[in-house]
Amino acid sequence: MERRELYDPEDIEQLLIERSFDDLLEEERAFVLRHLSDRNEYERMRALLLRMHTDEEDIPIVDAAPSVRDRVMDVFRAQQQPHWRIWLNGVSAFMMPQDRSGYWRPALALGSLVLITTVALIGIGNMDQNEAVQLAELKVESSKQEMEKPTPTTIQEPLPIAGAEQKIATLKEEQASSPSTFDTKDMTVESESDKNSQFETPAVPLADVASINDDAEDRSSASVEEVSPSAAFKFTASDTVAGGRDALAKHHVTSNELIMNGTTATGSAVQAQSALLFEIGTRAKSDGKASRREKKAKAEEMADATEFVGLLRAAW
Amino acid sequence: MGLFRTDHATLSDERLMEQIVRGDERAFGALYDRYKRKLITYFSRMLWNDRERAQDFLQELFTKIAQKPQSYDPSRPFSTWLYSVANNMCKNEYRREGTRKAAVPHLQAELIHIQPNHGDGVDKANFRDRLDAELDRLEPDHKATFVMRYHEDMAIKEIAGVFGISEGTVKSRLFYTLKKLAERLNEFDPRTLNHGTPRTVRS
Repeated sequence: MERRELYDPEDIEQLLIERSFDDLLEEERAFVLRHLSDRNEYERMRALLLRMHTDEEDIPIVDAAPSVRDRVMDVFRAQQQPHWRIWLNGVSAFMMPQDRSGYWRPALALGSLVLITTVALIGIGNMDQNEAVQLAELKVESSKQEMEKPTPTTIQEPLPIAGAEQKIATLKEEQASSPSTFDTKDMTVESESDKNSQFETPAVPLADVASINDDAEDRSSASVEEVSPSAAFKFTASDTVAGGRDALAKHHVTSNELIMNGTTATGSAVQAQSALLFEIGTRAKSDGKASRREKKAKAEEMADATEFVGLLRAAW
Repeated sequence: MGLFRTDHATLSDERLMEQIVRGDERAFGALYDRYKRKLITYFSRMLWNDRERAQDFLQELFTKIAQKPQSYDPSRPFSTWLYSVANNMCKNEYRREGTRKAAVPHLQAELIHIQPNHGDGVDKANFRDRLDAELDRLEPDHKATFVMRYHEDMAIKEIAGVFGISEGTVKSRLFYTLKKLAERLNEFDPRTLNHGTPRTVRS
């Protein structure tokens, strides 16, 4: 059976330091001789070890220069400084470079900063203005909407009174210069504005006045609300002529009568306008009546609801 | 006065590093004072006894600690971490000046003439020079292991932690390095000196 190794080769160091070859035990000596050639080798190694130990004691102590410590401590202090100081140092070095040719960098940086700030300020100002304009537009639009609401009582159509008055004036002049008799067949009473207006006044020859008056009598029984403005005008115009139907059939029309007819026609235009106003007014009244009825119905419903609520409360 | 004042000299390395991370300048100074001699000796041994360079390396090492104290891994013993950083710095230096520095020990060794019987002080100086020259011929890791063990008096476990290897590997490495050096420094064997004649060493 193989004998168990008691020592590793590396453990010879302890034997070398402690004992000479002659002082080794038999087992130790056998172990040493397995790793070393002979006694002399063992003794050389031991002598070297012992000499190194004794020489180490004689070697003067080597010390570092104090300047090394100072430099190392400076490095440590610099490392412990706050970083913002280093940052500030970097800023100052950037803003004031030693070389003059390097000034374009801080100039460019500052110029860019100023430009960006200006643009930002202008942009913010424009945004405020746009908001104000938008508000104003909203107000304008709301006021426009209010203005555009239909007002049933307003009338924008010009009244044909001025043209009729002019016509009367010209007729008076002609009467002053002309003979006293007229060909009544060609005479028509017509205002200029009637041609363009929706309330067109029909040109009525005096010869046909009788037939017109007949129609007028039939229509006079109709209610004002049912007839159209033009029909109303016809009614009023024929109504003025109706009184003198018999007289017209017997004698010629004098200039005074013609003038009277003109004024009647003018008056009929005014009457047409007033009839129109009357119709609009009656419509507004009917609308108002309808709205009042609706309100009334609603109020009644509400009243029913309040009654219902009251009943509910009483039940509770 | 000293009621609330911490005595940094009594604090462990790891505790000092915690305070350094928080920005304690005095802790940093205490740690520097604790390791400056060991490290400058180590750098001096590792860097061909060049004391100026050793000082530069010492400064560089503590500058790294001052700039990035967070790089220290608290799970490891501080001394182990510190020597591993120092060893890596030396390896980088070997790489940078490998060819030139590799030639210097040979030249120095060729010029060394051992004169053992001219006095004890001279003999000791010769032995140190010779030993340094032989150490420079070793592999960097073997040299570093030897220096840590026999010059810095570090424990096997610490050395193993620095290199990230087992303790057995460290012991084995030390044994074979010692055996090799003993062969090369045979002329300094006292028995040889007593019985033999002085001779010029040519490595």
